Amino acid sequence: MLLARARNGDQHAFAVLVERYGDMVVSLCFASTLNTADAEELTQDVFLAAWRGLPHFRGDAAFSTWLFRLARNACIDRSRRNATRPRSVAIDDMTGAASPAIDDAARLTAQRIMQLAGTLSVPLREAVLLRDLQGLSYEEIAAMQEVPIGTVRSRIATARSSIATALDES
Amino acid sequence: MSHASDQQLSMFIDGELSATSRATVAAHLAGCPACAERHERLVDVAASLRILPAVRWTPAATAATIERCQQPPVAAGRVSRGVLAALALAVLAAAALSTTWLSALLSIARSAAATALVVLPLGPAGGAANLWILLATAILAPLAALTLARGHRR
Repeated sequence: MLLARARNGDQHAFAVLVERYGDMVVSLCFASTLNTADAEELTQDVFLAAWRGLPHFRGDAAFSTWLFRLARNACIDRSRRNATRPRSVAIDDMTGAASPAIDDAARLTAQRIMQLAGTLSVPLREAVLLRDLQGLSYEEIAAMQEVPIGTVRSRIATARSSIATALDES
Repeated sequence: MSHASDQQLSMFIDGELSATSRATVAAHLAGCPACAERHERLVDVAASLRILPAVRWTPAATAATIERCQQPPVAAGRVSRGVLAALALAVLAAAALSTTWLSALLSIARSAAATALVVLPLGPAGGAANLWILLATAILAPLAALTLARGHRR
């Protein structure tokens, strides 16, 4: 009903969909960009594309599947544009917003791990950040990446392993 | 059990193993210092990320998104380079079909001027492409006119 109303141009219905899926889409966009401002802007772009594309959405797949596909494509387009016009990627320093009870050593380690996550391939980075930073379940990550859960398990394990090895070597 | 793989340890950390597998890995970790050490390393990675604040979508972000949805799509402000080139060539082809070669040259000159008036106002972003189109027109058009004029005289 909500989707049908949104397809008919009901912006209030679409706003509910935006609220419902906003966290997941911004999570995916942040895992790709590692920058909160970029992730929010990209998420807005995704929902704008969804709003304009809704009249053409046939319903062959679930709305969430279609939306996550739009988000992944937007992230890919953004990273390609950044690759051809290199710019310094501002990985958020998120340690400032971490709990004050966390000691400085833990903050530095967390920031270092974020930087190392930035060196991973996008699928691995997405999987581990969606799990450990954003708190999504394996099922949710599988739906967002449109891969089997086994692939998600493998990606998360490989990402953690790579980061752990890099930390040991540094 | 041989050493636990990183995938088994990662799934163990996340509670993704079956009860039987979980018990097997737990028993192995209790007796294998190397795997226990590796397990701790992977736990540290996961735990370090979990102390950072998750990125969250806000009601303000939803409102801003809906506001953007209410704006009409931005009209295409620039004609594609392909369309420009096709227009320029079509105009010049028509000019080159003139029966005399002087008349053809004059037509080409008029066409080039008209093309410039169409092309140049598109702004600095398309300026370089527009200049190339104009230059190509200036070189190719007289050649086309000469060829057609010679063919017409025979």
